Amino acid sequence: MRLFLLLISIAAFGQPATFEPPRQAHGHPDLQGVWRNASIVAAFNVEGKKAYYNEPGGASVIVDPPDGKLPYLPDALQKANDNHVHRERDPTGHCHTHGVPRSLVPPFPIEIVEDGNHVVLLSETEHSIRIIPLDGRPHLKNYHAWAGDSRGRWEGDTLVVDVTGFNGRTWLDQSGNFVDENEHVVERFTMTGPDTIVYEARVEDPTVYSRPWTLSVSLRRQTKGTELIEYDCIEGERDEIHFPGAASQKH
Amino acid sequence: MVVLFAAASGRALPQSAGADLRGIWMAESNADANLERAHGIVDPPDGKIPYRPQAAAQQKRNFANRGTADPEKRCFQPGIPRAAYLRSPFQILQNDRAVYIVYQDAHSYRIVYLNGSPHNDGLGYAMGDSRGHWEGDTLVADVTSFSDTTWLDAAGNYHSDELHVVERYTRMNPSGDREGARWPPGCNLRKSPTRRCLAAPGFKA
Repeated sequence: MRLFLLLISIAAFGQPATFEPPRQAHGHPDLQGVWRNASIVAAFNVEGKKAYYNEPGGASVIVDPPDGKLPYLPDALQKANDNHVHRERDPTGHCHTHGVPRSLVPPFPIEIVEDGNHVVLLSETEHSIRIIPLDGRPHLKNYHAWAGDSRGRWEGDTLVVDVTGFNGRTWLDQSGNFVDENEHVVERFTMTGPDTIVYEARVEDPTVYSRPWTLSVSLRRQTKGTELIEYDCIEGERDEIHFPGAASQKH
Repeated sequence: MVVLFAAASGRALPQSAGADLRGIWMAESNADANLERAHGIVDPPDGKIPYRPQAAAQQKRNFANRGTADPEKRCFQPGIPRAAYLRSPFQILQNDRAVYIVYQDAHSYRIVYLNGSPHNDGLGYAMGDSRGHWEGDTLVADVTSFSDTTWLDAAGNYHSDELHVVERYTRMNPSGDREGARWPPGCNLRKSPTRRCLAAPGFKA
């Protein structure tokens, strides 16, 4: 009897109710809309940080390893620490595009567009673009770019995107955490409610990290009518005001 | 007037209104080098841009300095209408909310809203603020709220921030199979230097 009650209670309360996402004509979930990462701290430091003047704080968005720390190799940790001292090197301060997974976690909106052939991620910040073909074509060879080369597929109701072909120049946040050209990301977009997508990125980069790690944030749907606005930042920017390190050093 | 060529076709369009403009397109024109010389101006009938006298003088200065002054050469967003006739491809996507035009050049994009929403005026965008509607199979985009930081071509033809553009996109051959118009599979900038078709992720024909 006790076991029976236990089973009943697991059935009633132990399992989250399965969310039935809105679907497109082709049957897969309709992820379209304007979204924004709910964890603002991720833009500043994916490992979490205290709050500070003009900078929100929060917990680490790294869910694996469980300690929430990036599993740097010793040399790479030294480089990350050096980047942190020289945050004026942040590529986004120079108006370069964010790379992956950073393009999903800025405190700016993104729009997801699906038209049956592609999923397209438009970022307000740096007006960056990711076009994700879903037709099973292979990755481009000898291709090295800020946003890498994305190939998507559906696993059940989860959009899975495999990303390689990075240029090795992107950071993960404003704190100097970084990846290099050997980065390989597997992203998972799962709608868990009408206005929520859980975004996970498993990052492998054997020349920077001792093991793969996983970042997870929620994307929240923005209010109806929200539109992406043109982003006013030109690649190669040298204006000091755009350099987070330079600005914060004056405080 | 500029004719665009397409590559790629796909699944049925998930909307009922308008035409299917989806695919990767590129202008078959030298309009980007010089709008007037490429016979890109169909009105006025003389094919000349009808500058005011002071503006004509500025255009001549722009032309003289075009090697360094052309904003597009400095990787600024190309502006409208120039983005449509650059010698680099762009991809059109469509859903019920908007037509999305994603350019290879300067990873620029525009969202042409189709929901009857009003312009975001006075904000000074390089790519303007686009609101569209369908007139039969023609996409009509009304574009305002420009900055004065873009040119019309590489020859120094230019505009002020009072620019107002009405664009019309009409698909001339719905099959997109005009002779020679389809790019060979897998062609790209490196493999096909005389026929640019791909240099950015996802822009693969």
